[in-house]
Amino acid sequence: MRSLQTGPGGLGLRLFAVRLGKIFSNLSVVGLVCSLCGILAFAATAMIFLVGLIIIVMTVGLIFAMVPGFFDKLMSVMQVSAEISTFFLKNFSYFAALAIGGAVVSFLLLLTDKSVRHTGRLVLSGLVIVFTLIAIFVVVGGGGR
Amino acid sequence: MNTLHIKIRGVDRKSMPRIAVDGESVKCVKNEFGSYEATVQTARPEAEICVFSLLELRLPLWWLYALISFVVSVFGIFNPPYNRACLVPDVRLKVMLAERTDLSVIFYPARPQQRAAEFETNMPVYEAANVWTLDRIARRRRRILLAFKIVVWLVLAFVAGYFLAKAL
Repeated sequence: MRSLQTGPGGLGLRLFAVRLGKIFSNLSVVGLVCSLCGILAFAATAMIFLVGLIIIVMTVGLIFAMVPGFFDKLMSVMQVSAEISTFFLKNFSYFAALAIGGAVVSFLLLLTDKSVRHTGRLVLSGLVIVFTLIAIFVVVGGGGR
Repeated sequence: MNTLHIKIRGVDRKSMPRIAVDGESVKCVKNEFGSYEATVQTARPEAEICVFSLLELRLPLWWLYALISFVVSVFGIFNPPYNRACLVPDVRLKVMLAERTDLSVIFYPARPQQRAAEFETNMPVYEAANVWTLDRIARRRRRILLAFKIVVWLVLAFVAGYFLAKAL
């Protein structure tokens, strides 16, 4: 009987394509997370400010007596958050391109495997594209870029 | 023309073995119960069936594929792990064919040097091999890749440390 241990060349290339597809899928998720970080960090800055205001109102201003330099601390935390948000928003286009590009390449490469259906990965790639497009609309619509 | 209907059960999606009938690779389709099925037509009165698994590290250009994957996946961070166990089924059998022959191949869990599968069929079957074997070459290559990865990461850490120290 003929040994098929090393397999025909086409099959080997297909396995390699699937591996690359999974790598691009992982990269696209990272791209999506970084894209969302820009938006979420911006929201986090606003949230920190809101929490600070609520604390001041709830303690009727006593927080300034209890925690000396409360306002300075609040502002410094907000500044750090704003810097993080700025970094992610500044590079938003790169992260979004990585997410969409990676997801599309992953989708195409995983479709080349006819013997095993990579349904989970394919759905993941589709979701990454959808969420990245939503993030793009939010950033472009909000004047982030 | 004889028809051979093959059904494979007891395998998970990742280690899906591939089938060759008379040296020709056969496409399997997953059915609604999670088993894999293939139908082959042949004029011969018997068929030689080979069930095999193809490990990526046994490919002819494995080092090139591994290197490209390593670079693309940002030094292996996003690279899915290679098969750790490196166990492959070595199942070769000859089955006599009737006009329609049904052959079920039921796999056991992968354990080295243990029986790989049982067969259910309406025709006589002659086993040439039926065992899970440890692919030593694939295992050695996996270790080589692991060592390479560690060396690259150490070099990267030294380079990063050097530039960081210079910047500070």
